[in-house]
Amino acid sequence: MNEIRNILIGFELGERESQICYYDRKTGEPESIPLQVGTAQYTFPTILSKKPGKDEWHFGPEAEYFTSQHNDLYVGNVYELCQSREKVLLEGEEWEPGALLGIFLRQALRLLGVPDPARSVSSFMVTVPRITGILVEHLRRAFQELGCARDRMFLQSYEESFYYHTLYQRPELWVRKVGLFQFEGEGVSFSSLEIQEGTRPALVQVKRGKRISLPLESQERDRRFVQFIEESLGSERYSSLFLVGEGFDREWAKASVPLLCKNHRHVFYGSNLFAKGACYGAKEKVEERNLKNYLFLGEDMVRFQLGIEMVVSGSSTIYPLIPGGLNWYEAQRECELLLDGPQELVFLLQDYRGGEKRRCRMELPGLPQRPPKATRLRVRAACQSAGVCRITVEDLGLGELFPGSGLVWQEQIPEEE
Amino acid sequence: MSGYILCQGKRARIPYYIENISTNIYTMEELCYYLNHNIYLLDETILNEGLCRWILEELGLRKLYDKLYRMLDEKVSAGTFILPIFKEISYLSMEEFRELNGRLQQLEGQPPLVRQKIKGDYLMENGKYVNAIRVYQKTLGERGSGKLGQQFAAMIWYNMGCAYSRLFQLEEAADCFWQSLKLQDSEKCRRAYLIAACCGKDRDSWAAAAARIQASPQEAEEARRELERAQEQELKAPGALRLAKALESSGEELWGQAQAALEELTAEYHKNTGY
Repeated sequence: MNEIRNILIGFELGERESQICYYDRKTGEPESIPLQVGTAQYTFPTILSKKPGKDEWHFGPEAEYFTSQHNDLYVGNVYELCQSREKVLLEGEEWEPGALLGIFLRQALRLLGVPDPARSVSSFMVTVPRITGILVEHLRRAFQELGCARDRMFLQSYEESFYYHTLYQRPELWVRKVGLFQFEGEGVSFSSLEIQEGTRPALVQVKRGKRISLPLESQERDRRFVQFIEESLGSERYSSLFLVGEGFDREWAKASVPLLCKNHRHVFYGSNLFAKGACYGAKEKVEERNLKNYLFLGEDMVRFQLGIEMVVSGSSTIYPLIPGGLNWYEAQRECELLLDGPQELVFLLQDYRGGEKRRCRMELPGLPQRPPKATRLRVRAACQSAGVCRITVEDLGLGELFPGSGLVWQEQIPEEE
Repeated sequence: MSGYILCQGKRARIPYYIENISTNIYTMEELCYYLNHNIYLLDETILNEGLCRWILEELGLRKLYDKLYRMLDEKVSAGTFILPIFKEISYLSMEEFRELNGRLQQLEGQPPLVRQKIKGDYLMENGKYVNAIRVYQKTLGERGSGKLGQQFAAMIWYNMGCAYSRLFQLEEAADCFWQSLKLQDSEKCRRAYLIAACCGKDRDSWAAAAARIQASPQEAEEARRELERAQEQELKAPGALRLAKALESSGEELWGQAQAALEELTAEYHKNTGY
């Protein structure tokens, strides 16, 4: 590995297999980290094991070896464990899935070969197939376990990694639509990336297509895949197609490959698209923003902006609590304000693309009556999903001059229908 | 204006202690609030090097520290000193600034003894009775044969009597009211004297006190009834009701309630006396 500090990491946390990429500043490209130097094995099982009676853990192939050849306790597939809040019982002790995920990530980061990854990594992007609220909770816990600064740890879906990976390729590869065939198990799914250039920033979406099962027999497999390609691409024009995952082989895809390459389409096959996309994402978060003229409209993106009109440094302005363009799990902010007259809060809600503003009132029943500027409120806004934000308000009073009541109010915006 | 002001500054780890009101402050917003509402309490106990250092070390405001330190050297007035503090966080609107300037001009135009007496009154309003008494005593001591006459002195004696009353030092309170009456007779002061002199004593004491200030028996009776009414009202006050309820309980609960009541009274005592 050519980097020893300010390392940018893309970590693909897959349902069955995971891998790590780091950004090589010499080559200007993400590079996958092999399990062993000099080998081409980049992926490893998303599993964890523990040596009984000791604080010693093994991940991936080590876990497979130590559980089968030694007496390691098999903890499980950490991705699967993180789909629920159920704790894991190990040697009589209960472990939170998030804590186990943190241990798995820490073990995997040993592949970097740096003594203190938490200090050496300047941006760590984890990419997962799908983002759920539970997974976000566990990842936050895992990030805590790792000890990296909170503003250096990020999360994005496979689709967003596909977006970053695509737009970091040379422009002719995405001048038109870009397709992705993802082979998983016995099946294959399709999604397409398209860019609406007419807006500033240009909006980029990944649309999910169908998923089918493929027969095992080669000829049938090829025939069915050809059919799938035709259905998926239709008459649309694609600049490039990417194929990822286990299950594709040129040996059986005799008719599929020429079809894929038709109309001068560029076709790429590999297994590290998402890890590389995560790496590009990590770079965008903390270093130069090469894609500032593009906005990815993923399903996790908050579709509204939430602000509050207030005086900031003497001037009236709309203070953004939830700015537009963020994924819901990143969209949280806290501020403290003084009340100078009103005994309630009024928020401004607006579609992320601008447009009409709507006011949302939040009452604060029981708030003690105090003179103007003698009530300090802590306001926290955190999105629970792409469509809903929870506001929590706490009365802080004004120090010892006017002790706080300790009252806390909560509201959901927009209101549930 | 929207009615909300964003707080942007740090919260101090170590607070600044405002002696005059025996209160800690942790933020610029708290400091500005105090300064804006207590201009008569602005003296060397708050506008000093200690405040400047706190602003630097706890809040990290280097530029403001430099400005205030220069102003200390130049011995500017309190009103001039506090303006950059408000400006630092844009605490006041233009209108509020104008209004504050007006109050500061009025303050600076008043004779020092009047300012001092008002300072005592502010301390009374904040429940700082011992500090208020000190300020009143100092004002009376400095009065001499100045332009501020008997009426002014009578007001100070009366206010001092009220401060002593709040501290339950009724002999001293009665003495202050007596001094006030000697300078200027008033019905309010006569009643206050009678109540302070006779609180908790028998009817004969009331008669003797009334005779001393040449109050009629009717006046004495009205003062006695006012005291009774006040005592009944006190028994219905939230604090008294809580204590009464506590006394109905027993064991751990009684202990807990009594402890809480005692803590409340202790805190109030410290606040009132500054000790």
